Amino acid sequence: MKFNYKAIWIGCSLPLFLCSCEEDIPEMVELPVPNSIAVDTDAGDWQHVMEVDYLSEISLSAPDDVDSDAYRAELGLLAAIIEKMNPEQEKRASYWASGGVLRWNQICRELVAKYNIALPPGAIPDVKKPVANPPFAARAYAMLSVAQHDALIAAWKLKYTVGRPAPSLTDSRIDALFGSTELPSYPSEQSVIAATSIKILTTLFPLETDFLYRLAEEQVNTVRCGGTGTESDIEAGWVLGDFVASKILERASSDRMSRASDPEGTYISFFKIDPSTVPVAWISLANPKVLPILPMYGNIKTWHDSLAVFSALPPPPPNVGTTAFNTDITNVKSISKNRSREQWRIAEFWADGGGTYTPPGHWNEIAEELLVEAQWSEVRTARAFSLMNRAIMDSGVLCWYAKYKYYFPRPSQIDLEIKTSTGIPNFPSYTSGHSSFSSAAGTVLGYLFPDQKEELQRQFIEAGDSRIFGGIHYGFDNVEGRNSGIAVGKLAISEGRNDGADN
Amino acid sequence: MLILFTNQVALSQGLLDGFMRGRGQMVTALSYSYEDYDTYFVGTAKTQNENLGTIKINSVSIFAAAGLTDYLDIVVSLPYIDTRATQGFWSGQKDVQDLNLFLKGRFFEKDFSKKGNLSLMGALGLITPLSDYIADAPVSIGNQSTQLEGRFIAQYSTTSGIFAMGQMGYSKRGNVTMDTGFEVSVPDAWDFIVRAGGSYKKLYADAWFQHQNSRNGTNIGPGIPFPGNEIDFSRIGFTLYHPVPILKNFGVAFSSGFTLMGSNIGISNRFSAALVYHFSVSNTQP
Repeated sequence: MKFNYKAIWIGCSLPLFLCSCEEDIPEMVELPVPNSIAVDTDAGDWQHVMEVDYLSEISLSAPDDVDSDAYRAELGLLAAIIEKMNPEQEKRASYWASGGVLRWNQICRELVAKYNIALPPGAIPDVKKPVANPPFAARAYAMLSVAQHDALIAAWKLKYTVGRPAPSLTDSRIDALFGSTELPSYPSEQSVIAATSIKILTTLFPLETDFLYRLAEEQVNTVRCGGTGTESDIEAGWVLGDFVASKILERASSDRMSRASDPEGTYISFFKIDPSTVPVAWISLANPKVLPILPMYGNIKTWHDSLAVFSALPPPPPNVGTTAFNTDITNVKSISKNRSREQWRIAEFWADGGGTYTPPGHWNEIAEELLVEAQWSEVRTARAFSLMNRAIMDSGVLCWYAKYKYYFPRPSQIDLEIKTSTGIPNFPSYTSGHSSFSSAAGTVLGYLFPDQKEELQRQFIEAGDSRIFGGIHYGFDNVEGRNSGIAVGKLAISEGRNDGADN
Repeated sequence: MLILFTNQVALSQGLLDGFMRGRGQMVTALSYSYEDYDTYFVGTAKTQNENLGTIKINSVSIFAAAGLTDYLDIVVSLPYIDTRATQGFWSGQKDVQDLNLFLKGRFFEKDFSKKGNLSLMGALGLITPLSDYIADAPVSIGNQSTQLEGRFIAQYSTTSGIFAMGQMGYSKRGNVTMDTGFEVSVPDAWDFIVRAGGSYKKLYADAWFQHQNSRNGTNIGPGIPFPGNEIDFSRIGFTLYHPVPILKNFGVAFSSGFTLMGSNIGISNRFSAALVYHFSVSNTQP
């Protein structure tokens, strides 16, 4: 029996083994261990997201000199650990060597999917069990990415200031499991990533704390087994990562997300929704009727300058009954009556509804594929996710503002005969969240990966079109969502051009 | 898709009965059926969904069975199904569904003089979708899985016409690829049927009970593809067949089926009517 248990333990994917929660997280995708990674020696001088001078504010004890007795003792300890390493530890080391930033992005997506379940009608929201709908998810991905981005820039700065060589270069007893590296070891970037990621994710998903801590500990252990850092490298990395995350959490605690769900319905007066401003008001098409999702999400703090973001606020939609409106709804209806198999497939492919990563998550998955191939350093990978996810979230904030300002009815509300191939989301129509999120993401990724620009554009256009094929959006929802998404994406691009990363 | 009777219709309607057609004998049928439910099982919890209301299913099927020899039959059926929800906004579906093709052979027969006859039969079948209908939606006509099925039938028929049949089957179900790109494993299932009735020259009547149990699968839920659901059910039904007067070789059949219990399935009632035609293709030797 003991042997069988071990065999199952080894064979199971990590979350199934470590997860103490009720539902299993599905198996995580295999990622390859990169062959070679550029080191990005000047990443420490890249521009941070938050205006915080992390290294001045933090108090880290001065690292011991490589010739010191204390450091020599650490190397001895490390050599002993490596000598006793077993195959299972080696396997877990290669899991994390595929990229700490990539792995935590996957983990965040899986948690979003797990929590992306609508509350049953009448259920009381539980802050410990967040509902990971698309706006929530966009903010979650952004918070995680920003924490990693800023933490790794600070880590890189410290690495090259201290200049401690990797243990395998100092001590011949120590073999780096994945090949020796020129990257200085103090502080350990894997430790930074672990600390910063769990601080963000345990705040967002408190019930997953045990599970997440075990993952973080495992990642830190791979620093030992992988021979890339000693205890002081790990300790310094952990303190730094934790500190940076606490700054992102400080910002998050006052970004007005806590008021976004607006159970009292203050949004009606905030947006001045009345028959003079909104001739035909949105009504929930759910049975039984439920409150719309996050009416005040459009009022939360954006990452980019809010004036710049809101300069792309979509114009008012055509009023119900006008020629432009009638032409559009006729098209939606005609598609819904004669939906081709391919249209249905496209609607399904991009739906990303309940139980999935959400549309922002789908684009994180697309980014992952591109990043795996690019084999960038952890800091450059984190920057990519940070640029994309902040654009996605800001585009979502703008979209949600438009949704509740214009409070526009869904096609099926106006014409009950319009049947859909996907669920009708419980919030107003104009503009399309899919178009907004996808266009922002695709625009940023098209800048980071110029040779993929056309394909990414094809994808974000299709993602927006999919909602018309599904029968739940008008053409003007899609077009204006796309326009504002691209505009927000361009804000991210102009930051990316000037942040020092040279890509 | 909350599995319809129609996937199993042929079985519960006697697609595979305990009688052999006889060499050169053919029977064909054109049937219409109506099925509906407003309550369904999510896992084993009864649920009603106001965003669906009542699911109504209308279907037309063609059926044919032929005796290749006295101990080997070929059986085929194909339904066209139209399903819709009475509430909410989910699109309805209508399309040609799955081809059912079976070979049934009697490998053992024993006559108990003047009293009755015991027959043992085995069957091998293929069920395969004939159109690219939507499988992963709360309103759909099937699960798009290609299935290989093995069945065993034992029937005791008395000389007076009364019969009793027991049947068991195992269905090996192929994976289905979703529009999202994911491949979903469709749980295999075994089932058994008991049927009793009387088969006479001018009347056929039976009552049956069927139970299906699937191997491990998912429960209906957000983001959970329907074809991967674990579907179990217990059903009863009745069949009545009568030859049509005047028209030689024609008959009409009425059948019903009622779902009593299950998992991830609608609690549905089904009623069908069929026009049946028997004929012989053998050459009579002088």
